[in-house]
Parts: sequence; C-alpha cells; structure tokens
Amino acid sequence: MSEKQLAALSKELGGKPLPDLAALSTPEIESITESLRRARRAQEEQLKRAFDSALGHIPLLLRGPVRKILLP
Amino acid sequence: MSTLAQRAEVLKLARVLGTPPSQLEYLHKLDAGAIRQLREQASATLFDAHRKLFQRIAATTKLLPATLIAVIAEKAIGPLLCARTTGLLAPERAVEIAKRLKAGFLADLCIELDPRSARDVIAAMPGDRIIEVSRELARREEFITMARFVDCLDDDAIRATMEDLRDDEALLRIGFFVEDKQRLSDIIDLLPRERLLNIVRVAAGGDAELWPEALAMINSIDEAQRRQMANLAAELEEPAIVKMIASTQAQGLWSAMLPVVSMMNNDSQRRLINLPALQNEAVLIAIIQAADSAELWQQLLQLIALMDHDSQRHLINMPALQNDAVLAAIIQAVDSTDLWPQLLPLVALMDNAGQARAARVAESQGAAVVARLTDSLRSLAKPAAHA
Repeated sequence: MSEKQLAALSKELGGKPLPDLAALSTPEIESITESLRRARRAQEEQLKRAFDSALGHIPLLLRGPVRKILLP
Repeated sequence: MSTLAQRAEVLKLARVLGTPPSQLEYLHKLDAGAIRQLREQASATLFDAHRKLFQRIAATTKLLPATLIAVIAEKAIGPLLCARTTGLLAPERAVEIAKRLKAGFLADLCIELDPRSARDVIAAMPGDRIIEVSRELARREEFITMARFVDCLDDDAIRATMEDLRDDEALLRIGFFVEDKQRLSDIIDLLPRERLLNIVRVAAGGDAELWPEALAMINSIDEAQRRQMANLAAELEEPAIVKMIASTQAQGLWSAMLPVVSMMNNDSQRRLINLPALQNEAVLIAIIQAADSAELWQQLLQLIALMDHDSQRHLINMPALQNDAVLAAIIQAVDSTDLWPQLLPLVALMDNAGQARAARVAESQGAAVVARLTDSLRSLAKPAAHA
C-alpha cells in the first residue's frame, strides 16, 4: 500500500483522516477510490439530467425566478 | 462478531456507492469500524459535493405550490436528488410535499436518504405515511434502509410499524442492520415475549438460515435482554436447537454462540451441552478452537462442567486439547477467574500423559499459579479426607 494511493483516496473523501486501511493492498485501495469516483460522477450526471428536466415542468411565468435561484 | 458486523457494513457501503457488494469483498479484511468510517465519509462527501445546489433547490420550493413540487419531484428530480434536498427543507414544508408523493416514490427516496440529515422531517411525518412507506420497503426487502430509519423514528412510530409488520423474519433482518445498539435494545423492550420467542424460532429453525443475524442481534443488546433471548432460544424444540447448532457450526460462529449459551440458565445449558449434536467430534473441535481464539475458556469450562461424565472424559482427552499452547491458555483463564475447582475434576479424567503435560504447563506459568492450584487441590481433597 503506497502513500500515493492513500492520498488519492483521502482526496476523494474530502481530505478527512482515513480509517486504518493497512490490511488493504495497493490495487484494493485503488479499487475503492475508483468506486467512490464512479459514485460521484453518477450523482453529477443525475443532477444535471434532473436539473434540465425539472425546469421543463415549471410554468413559464415562474421559470425565470426559479432559474435565478438555481443559477445565481 | 466482527465478521457479521463486517457483512452488514459492506452491504451498507455498497448501497452508498451504488456498487454490487461482491465487488467490495476485499473490505472484509478491515474491521467493521473502519468500513463504517469509510461509508460515513463516502456518504458525507457525496452529499457535500453539491450542497450549495441542493440548498438552492430547497429554496425554490418556497416559490412553488406543494402539488407542483410533488409532480416535479416525481417526474424530473427523482428520488436521489430529492433525498439530498429533504433535510434542507423546513419540516412542515417537507411533510406537505410528502403527503402528495406516491408511497412507491417515497420508498425510493427513503432508500437514498441519510435519515440523520433529515431527523426533523422524519419526526414531523404523520404515522400513517410512515406505515405506508415501511410496508412498501418491507415488500421490496429493503431491510438496510428500514434499519437506518430505526435510529431516527420515535417509539410510537416504531411500535405502530412493528405492529403492522407481522413478518418476524423481516424484523430480524432489519435488526441485523440497526446501527445504534441502544436503540435496538429499546425496540426489543417494545416487543412482547411471544413475539421475541417467535423471532428466535424463525431464526433458529426457519428455512431462511437467519441464525447469524439473530446471533449478531443477541450479542448487541444489553445484558438482561441477552439473557432473555438466550433462554428463549433454549426453550425451543429439539429440532430447532439441532438446526441452530448445525448453522453455528457451518458458519463458524461458535465464538458468537458460546457467550449466548453461557447466558442460559443451568438446566438449559445442561440440556444443550448433552445433545448428541454437540458430541460430534468436528463440532467439539470447532468449539475448542473458538474458545481458544476468542478467549472464552471461562464460558466453555462452565459448560463442560455440566456434561455427563463420559462426554467430559472424551472431550478432555481430545487431541485438540493435548497442546501446550491451548493448555496454557486454559490454565491462564482458569487461574485469573478462580475456576480451578471446575478444571481439576476434568484434569483427573485425562490419561496419564495428559495429566503430566497439564502439570508441566501449569508449572511453566510460575510459582504463584502452582500455589493457587495446590490450594485448590487441597480444598478439593478435604471433604474426601473427612469422608
């Protein structure tokens, strides 16, 4: 397990102190980091899709103020 | 217990990451606390990643009528983003919107929600809505999700939900995933004795092989309840107990099972320890290994004392016990808990070579141990001398 892989995982978790992961190998640390990255990307994509779709449902009159709040 | 707790934690982390649990098998090398910390950090990171945007979404809900928000939530925003926003809404507003959402959508939302981020909203939710959604979650076997809510629902909501949910197998599966063990104890207190007995019966003798879940639960609750559950298990019919022993053996759970058996009353222990299913050589070896690795010699010796004479002789002469390291562990446990009066009659059942080995190992533990052993021998010999 190298420092570089641990640093990448810590960064993915927002820089918080990591629990004791000494039992994990380097590829396993990389794997959990990649799973986190994938989860974050999936959430971003979902957010983008939802945002576009939500505006379409809002009555025309309210779309302006709502957009202003969402995209200041 | 660690393997059961690890299993629960890996399943929960897989849920947060949206990945199959099989892809996280390697995490079983970590202790449960480390996996839990990883999960909490992952969950917080995903939530914080777009916190400002979620706050803005929450702000727009003030502009729109609840009916329209419910439509947009279901048709456009979806359960994940609604879940991220829920805790940022005023509880009354969130309830107003939730009333207009379909139970299926609310169940989807609950799966994605971190209940701790939405405690006030959950507390404000009407009881009938909670029951409706919990019914849907149970139908989908979303036990991890239901367990997460247990920590945040009050006693009245829990009681109403448990009365509605008559499936004790489901209840047991939920209990396995509950994080706050004190809360789990509180909930056990809400259940009538008959329901607890049925939960143990379902766990031990049912077809779903839920004994590991039951053991994890029993070992998590407070001592008085642990004793109650252990004695309920002891009350079961013999086929159910035999199945319980087979499950413990098959899943390598004796280190979790021995503390539970040690909580049973003496008659129950005597009945259990003398069952033919426990006289099996492989079972006895597994029990000895569990006692050795989990330092449960004290509990095991008290059980062995209740075995019939022939079974004691058989067990004490088993090759698994003819080992200096194992004997040293037994002697240390006995000496530290003053169990010499229990051990010495067993040593007397050893063959000559075994007795010589035990004496040599005891001597190697030091003069103080030998002195206490000798004192115990004298006390045991006294009544005989009077006779």
